[in-house]
Amino acid sequence: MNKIKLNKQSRRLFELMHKVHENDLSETDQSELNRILKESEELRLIFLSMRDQHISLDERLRNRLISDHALGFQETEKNESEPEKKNQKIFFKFLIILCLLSTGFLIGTFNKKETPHSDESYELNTLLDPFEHHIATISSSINTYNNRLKEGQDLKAGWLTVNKGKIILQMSSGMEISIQAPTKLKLINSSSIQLDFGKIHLKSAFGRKGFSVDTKYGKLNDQGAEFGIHIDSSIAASNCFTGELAFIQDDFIQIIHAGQNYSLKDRQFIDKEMYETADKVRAQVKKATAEKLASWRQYLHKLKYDPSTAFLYQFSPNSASPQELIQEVHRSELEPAHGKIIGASWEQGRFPGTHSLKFDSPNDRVKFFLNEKFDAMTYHMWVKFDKLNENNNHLGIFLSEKWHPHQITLQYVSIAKGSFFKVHSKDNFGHSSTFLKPEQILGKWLLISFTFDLVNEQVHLYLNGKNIDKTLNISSTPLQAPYIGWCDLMNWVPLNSQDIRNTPGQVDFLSIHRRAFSAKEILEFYEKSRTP
Amino acid sequence: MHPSEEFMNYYIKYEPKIRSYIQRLVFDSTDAEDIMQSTAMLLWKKHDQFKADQAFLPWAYKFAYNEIRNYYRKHEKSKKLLLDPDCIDQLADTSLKNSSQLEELKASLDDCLYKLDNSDRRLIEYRYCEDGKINDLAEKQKTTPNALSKALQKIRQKLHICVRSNQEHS
Repeated sequence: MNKIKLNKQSRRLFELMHKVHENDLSETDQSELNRILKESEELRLIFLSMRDQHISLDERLRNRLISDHALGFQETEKNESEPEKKNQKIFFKFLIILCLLSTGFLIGTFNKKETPHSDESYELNTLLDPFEHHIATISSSINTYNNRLKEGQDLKAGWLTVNKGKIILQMSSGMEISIQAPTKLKLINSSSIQLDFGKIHLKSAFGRKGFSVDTKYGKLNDQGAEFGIHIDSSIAASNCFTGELAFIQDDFIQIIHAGQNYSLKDRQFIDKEMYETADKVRAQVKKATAEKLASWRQYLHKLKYDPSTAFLYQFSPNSASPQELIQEVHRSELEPAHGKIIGASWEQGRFPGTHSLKFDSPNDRVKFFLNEKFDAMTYHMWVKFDKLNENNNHLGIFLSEKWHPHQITLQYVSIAKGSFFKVHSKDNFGHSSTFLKPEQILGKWLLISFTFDLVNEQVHLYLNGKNIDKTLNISSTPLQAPYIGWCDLMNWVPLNSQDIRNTPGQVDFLSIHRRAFSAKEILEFYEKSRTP
Repeated sequence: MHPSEEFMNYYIKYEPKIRSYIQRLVFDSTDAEDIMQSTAMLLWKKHDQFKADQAFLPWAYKFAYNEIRNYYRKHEKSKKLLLDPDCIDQLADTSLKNSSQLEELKASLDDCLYKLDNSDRRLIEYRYCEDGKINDLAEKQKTTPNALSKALQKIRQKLHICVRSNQEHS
């Protein structure tokens, strides 16, 4: 801070002005203030400038409150005071008067103007077009090592290949199919599939008849059965466990009854075979998930006591203070950097029994004060994006909101050319990922990580442990350690603008570290934190 | 351009400055808004007296100043107004003469907020952006409200010195 000289009177004026703004001015103080102000132009200028300072800071607060109010958010623990209500009424009343005054003059001008329609907004609308009709959903999965084959993934008609692990498919017709790798099949519609090779077990939830499985040897038609089909280079057979099913090839029809195993290739009954039923796969998933969660928690315990971990949030509700998101790394300062939950609600997390925060409406967010500068950083966040922002082509994921010229922001941006993640430290660097279509990122849990190291001028972006770097622009001036300070998670409500970049979705983990992880460490982190 | 339209363009352009002028001299924010409204209405009623070749702001400030004086006269006995009429006259005069300098000072506030130490910025944020109560924060930080209030006073002083220095160097 630069120094300018203050005399006794200006110092006293600062004291009195402080009292004015904190409503703490006595009558004696008041007389003294009037006397001082009459003494010189310089003192009056100080007074007026201090008034401006106070009003300007106060307006920031008021803008934020009006923005929150207009968006339907009001903090539960705080009641709006009467003067504030009156202020807002007057503010809106004034706006109405201004509008009335303006309308008479400007109506003609407005009529002449056309609403601009930018390429970007057109592209966003295109991106927001509804997807094709889904006919199946993955209801459970284990060890697939493929982010697309995770629980909750909706599937359209088309080929599906499972190279590793096991999945359970819930067809919208009610048929439940347990699939063991390696399997390749084609989803034709909700009542029929084509099996190229692999081992599947089928059971209709409602005992409905008519589901068909096409193979190169002929078609199997469910007549209300629980059955399995196994096709590979050495075998092509269907095993009926309950009910009956029909094997049809041209004019040939063979009914397969409960307890029979039929060779589709040789057209004869053979010895029975073992299949993984959906219940059995589910039990395996449950056991593996519990084991994975236990090892992830062990790893988190280590992370919390690692001196390079700056902030860590596991996203668990805190009954003592429901509005707080607990930061778990011990910090020597008094403020432990707990987040303030605004609007977001608790939901199921990635693991059974864990929690996540769900962000729905435009003002939902977690607000943090992260009081630290970073020469190097790793940022990890498990997030699920529900949809694109309909009001803006940015999803604001993590954003420092003001003042610092080296603030850090992480966004998912949709422009005419495509959509990408972008990490940005104003005046330091801007870094974009490869294009990732909304279909690739919506509706599934993702680990987003970024690292930077100012000494080595390295910035990297990762998605599920894999590098997604594309374009890095680094400032030619000396880089300054970014400071986070005030920031919002899954939202950005700028103080002086209505340009709200909210992100509908869920978050169940966030950590920030004081060093840049290597690509290998990022992948390890993903492997340790992902669900089985 | 129609004279009314021309007036409206001026008004929209200079409305923030008129508002600042009023807010500087009227401490109660609700009252300041009332005066802003009555000034706006008055300017509209008198807009046909405005000549395109004259400066808009001094013309508009005159109406605002009269409204402020009326307010002080009307509430002289009923309200705690802090400033006496002579003082208001002198401040209004200083505000008018140094209007652009004051705007420049205000414009460099963001830069000065950035230059604050983290703990100072935290306190300003708490006081203004969270509408925090000094007593609550004092309890949280295990200090006295008086110590925190003194700290806030020093930060305000630092900010003022910073904006003035910025202006001197520019």
